[in-house]
Amino acid sequence: MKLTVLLTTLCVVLFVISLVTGTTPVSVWHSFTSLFATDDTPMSVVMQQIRLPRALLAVMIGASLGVSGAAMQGYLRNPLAEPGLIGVSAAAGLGAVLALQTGLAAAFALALPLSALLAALIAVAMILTLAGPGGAALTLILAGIAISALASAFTSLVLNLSPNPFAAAEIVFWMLGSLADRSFSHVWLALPFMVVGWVLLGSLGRGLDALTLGEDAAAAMGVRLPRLRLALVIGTAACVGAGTAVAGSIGFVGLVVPHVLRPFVGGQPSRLLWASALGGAAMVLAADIAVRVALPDRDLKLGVLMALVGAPLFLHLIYKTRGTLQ
Amino acid sequence: MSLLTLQNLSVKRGACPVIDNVSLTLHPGECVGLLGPNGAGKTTLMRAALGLLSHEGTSSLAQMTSMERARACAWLPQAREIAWPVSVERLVRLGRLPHSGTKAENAAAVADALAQMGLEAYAQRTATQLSGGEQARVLIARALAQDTPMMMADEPIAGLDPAAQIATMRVFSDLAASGRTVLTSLHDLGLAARHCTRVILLHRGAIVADGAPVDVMTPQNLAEVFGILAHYEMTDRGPVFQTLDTLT
Repeated sequence: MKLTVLLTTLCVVLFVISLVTGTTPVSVWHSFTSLFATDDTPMSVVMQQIRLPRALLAVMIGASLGVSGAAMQGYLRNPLAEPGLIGVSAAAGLGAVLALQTGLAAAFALALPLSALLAALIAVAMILTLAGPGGAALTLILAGIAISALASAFTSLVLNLSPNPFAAAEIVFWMLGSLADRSFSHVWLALPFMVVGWVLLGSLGRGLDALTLGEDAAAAMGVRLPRLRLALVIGTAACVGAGTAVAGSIGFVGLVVPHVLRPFVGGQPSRLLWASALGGAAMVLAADIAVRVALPDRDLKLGVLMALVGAPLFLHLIYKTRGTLQ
Repeated sequence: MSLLTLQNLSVKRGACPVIDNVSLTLHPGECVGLLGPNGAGKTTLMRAALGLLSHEGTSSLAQMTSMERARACAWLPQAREIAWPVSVERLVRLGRLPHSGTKAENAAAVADALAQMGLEAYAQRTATQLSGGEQARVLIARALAQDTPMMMADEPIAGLDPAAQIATMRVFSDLAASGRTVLTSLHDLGLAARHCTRVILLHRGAIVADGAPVDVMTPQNLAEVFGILAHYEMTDRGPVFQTLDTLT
């Protein structure tokens, strides 16, 4: 309970800081009056159509990555699991890269995220077909790894055959992940998928708790594993697919956040779901503020900073907990 | 009224039957020991009876919905898995998942289960930091907290110290004495002889003998199924069973 309040407060504070951070130097108070103004001054346009959707996307994507990371770790009973494991983020990336390469992305505003979403959808269908109707975890991981490898191979192929360095650079930059210059159309595109994902993953708490005792014991306690796995795959795919579609691939959130928060919820997977959603939102908000503060004129990519901060943090955690992991 | 009735239950792995046409009925008040050498099909029989494995024939438990079954029978798998560093109390409380009881009812059932396994002092310890034997007892307490008319356990006492083995078998026979049904596989024939009201001898997927320990654990059966020679004697302190040698 205390943790929920703490994390929620952190999210709210970071959300506000995110709103007032940017290249246009204005006072905090002016930022807020502009946010609710209806006068179409440049400042209110900046606040309402650039900074607000950016902060909202940070919250949505962070929460999605956090909750799907916690669900994936709970399902596989492995603290190394992360939402990208089922191959959906790699597939969404491929969809986006194809849209950039074919010029479709320039044809209309949402062509790129829609293409990414379509690719994610195809990946989900393939994973569910490959993994079969049972509820076992191993086939799911293997199918995910196969899809991930395939999508990465195609992405490399597109880069390889890219006609000129500018096209290749555009693709690479997109893949680094960013929340810069996103609009409300991105928010509205991603939100329905993410809400479906949150609802599906949020409903898994009981089943994930039971899985602490292994698949057999969980099944005997009334958990329907095939259904749980279906909800997990579709929920994660909706969350991660939509996130990747609008922001590119952002790693480490789904891996680090559940890992950091696990001791604070007593290790219980159901409580970790919501804590990780809040924690993920806070982490992405903080990172997105940091990219704007650290190098304001260089367009530092969110995914790059996340990995730069996330990897050492993770190393530190491993170093700290190596005694207890044995 | 019996909770578990198996009729012509068969499980095939490929074309080879692992469980071959097993029929049996368990009654309330019975503490049943499932005996048999490694690979006899003990685990497979219990998992198929629960409906966790696809099978031919019928099992009354497998015909229930998953929630009905979870309230009818607690299952303690052989693999002692505790995935996350949760507290013992919280782990035992997982046994309450199939129930929609009030907080007080659940807390009472958890406290009761902890007391039965002598784990009151461990309630706030982290389960993953306990020793293997202690973890096994915590997991038994979890199954007890499920508070079901039937308990099915797969080698629950393997790896426990002698006192804990006896205490656990006594918990099981007390459960049976209170009108529940216990089915447990075990390799300790001596404890089976002392604490089980009925033993079922399984060999190559089929039931060889079924009845009171004294009638089942005969020299012929032990020689045929386990390939061992043993001493069995009724004393004034209960039955004493001691394995002596292998037969070649």
